[in-house]
Amino acid sequence: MNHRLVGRMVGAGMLAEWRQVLRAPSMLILAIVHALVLMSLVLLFGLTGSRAPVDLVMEDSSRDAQSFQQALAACHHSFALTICDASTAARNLAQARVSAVITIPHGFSACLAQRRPVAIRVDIDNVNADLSEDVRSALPSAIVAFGQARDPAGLTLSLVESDRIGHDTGFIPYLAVSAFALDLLTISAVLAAVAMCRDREARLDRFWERSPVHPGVLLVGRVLASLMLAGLAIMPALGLVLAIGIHPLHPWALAACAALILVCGCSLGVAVGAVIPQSTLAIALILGLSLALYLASGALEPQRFDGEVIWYLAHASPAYPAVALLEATAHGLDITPEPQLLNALSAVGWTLAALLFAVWRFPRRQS
Amino acid sequence: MTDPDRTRLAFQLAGVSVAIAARTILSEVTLSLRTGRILGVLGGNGAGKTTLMQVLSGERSISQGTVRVLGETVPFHERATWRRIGIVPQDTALYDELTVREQLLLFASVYGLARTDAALMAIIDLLGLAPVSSTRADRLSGGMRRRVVIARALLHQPELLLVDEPTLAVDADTRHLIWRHLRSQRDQGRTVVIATNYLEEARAVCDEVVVLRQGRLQRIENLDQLLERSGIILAARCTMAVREQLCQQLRSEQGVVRADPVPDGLELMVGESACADLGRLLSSIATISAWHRRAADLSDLLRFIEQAP
Repeated sequence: MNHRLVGRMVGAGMLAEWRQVLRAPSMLILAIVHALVLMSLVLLFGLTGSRAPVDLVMEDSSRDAQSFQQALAACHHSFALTICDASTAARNLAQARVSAVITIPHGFSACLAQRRPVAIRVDIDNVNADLSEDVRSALPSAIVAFGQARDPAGLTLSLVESDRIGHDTGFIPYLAVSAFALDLLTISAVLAAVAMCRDREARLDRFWERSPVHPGVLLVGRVLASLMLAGLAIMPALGLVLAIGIHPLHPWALAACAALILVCGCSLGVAVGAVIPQSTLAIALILGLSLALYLASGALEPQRFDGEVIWYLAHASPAYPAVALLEATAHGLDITPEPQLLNALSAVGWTLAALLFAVWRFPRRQS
Repeated sequence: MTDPDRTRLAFQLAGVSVAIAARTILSEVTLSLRTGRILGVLGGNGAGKTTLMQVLSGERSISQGTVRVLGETVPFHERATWRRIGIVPQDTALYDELTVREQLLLFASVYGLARTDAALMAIIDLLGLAPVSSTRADRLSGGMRRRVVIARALLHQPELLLVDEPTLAVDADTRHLIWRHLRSQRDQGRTVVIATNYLEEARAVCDEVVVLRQGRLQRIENLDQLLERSGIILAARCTMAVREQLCQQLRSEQGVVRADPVPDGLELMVGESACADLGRLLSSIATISAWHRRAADLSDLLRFIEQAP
């Protein structure tokens, strides 16, 4: 085959795909909106799950009471504390605006000074056991932290923490990066699948079948264009990640891994398009599978925390190495027992397997 | 695979049959055509015209027989053979989002034609596409879309042009432009095969005509003579109650080739010489409210062939 002719056809395919996507941008818009919605949903989950909205009624405004307030705010599963008066707090609790109301009673400081017991009143909206448990488990740790700070000699039991990683990573930044990995996969897969279906849907596949150059050459151009478009379409989601305040530890490695994940997603879209000739069906399949594959990939926490069986199953998801690579490059986290090189090779493996499958399956779709 | 002794034939079909899901579409078709001729393949819907075109383009595999096109055995061993064939399918499929010029450039890329290639420019001008070259395909009329599809098939100046229903749903001006262009292709030494429903088209454009009926092929030596023999159609309006009886009565009149009931009356196929007498006869029959004469169409011709001895 004439290399110049092949190069010209690849270029023509790229240009055509680029023009067609931009002139009928509904699929592109769908991909961008899906990416943003997915990230927003994940972040919303993190926001509601980790910071229970709680009203704090301070009937005592002493220095001790303020120290206790700070201990509450700083404890794990920290409360989203709002200080207000008793009647406002009661109304908020009744209207389900807060999950609990904590009251620091009158004479709090005086009782402590006299070493008399103090009862901290907590009113809980236990409609949701998860948030109620957060409040119940957080309060004692706040009390211990407060007691240790106020009277170190009085508490002989103390915690000596040793961290595996030199820094803590917030739950929201963790989720944002993993959602970004899924966005990379789905956006590129959707656009590549659309490119694969385009000739068939325009009823021009027969023309290309009866042309002097194999129709796959044109498709290579179309898929390359969809890869470039996916790179642009991911920008709003990337903007959201940066707006959250994430500063990648290894930005260049992160960019390289993101590019690898885009290519991987693109090849998965090519494989789907090689089986399903209608873009709407192909997109429905990709979007339908994406969340399931994402949740079983260690996106919310290291997958091994959920048990060995789920961890084994997670390897069936291309999001597994994708999330691992991005968490490693953005936050310096090793969330899989496999080394990052193996995760990168896994992503390459998914890419090659999808492309080989498409090369095998595409002629059968056409016949 | 080129056979020098046969290159003067554009194609040869020998005993070709095509069956799809136990249904015979083409039955033992034997046909050949010299280069530089226009062949018209006439036939009603479902007669097998499109299948015949697909066999010639190598798209449809055959159940039996042999096919050679431009000296190559079908199926083609090399994709490059399609460089020598231009195909105008029945539908006018185009990329809706691309302009006429962008489409043609995309299609031209497969033949190695550059943006500024003279052939590309010439085709755009020749088919009157210059005024719409910057218009998106989804904003083109049906006739313009068909012109673009024809232009696509001509971009690479093929030796053999296969055209399926070239003037389907186009206006008279476009039809004549397409006919003129097909004839000019023949004049440049190219071979053209046209599948059509329209007798007028076959008469206007084709050098040779074959008729396909239920997958069987019949060569028409002289279409004009055949039409002359098949005669004129007299269409009379009458009530359903009397039409059968009238048909029966008129079949025995001299010069009547056939008399058949139709939804609003009856139709007579008559010889040219008997036309005037039979017209007077129809006028004299009280149960016939009106009548008119018209030229025979394809379905009339097919029925004539069927009934001819």
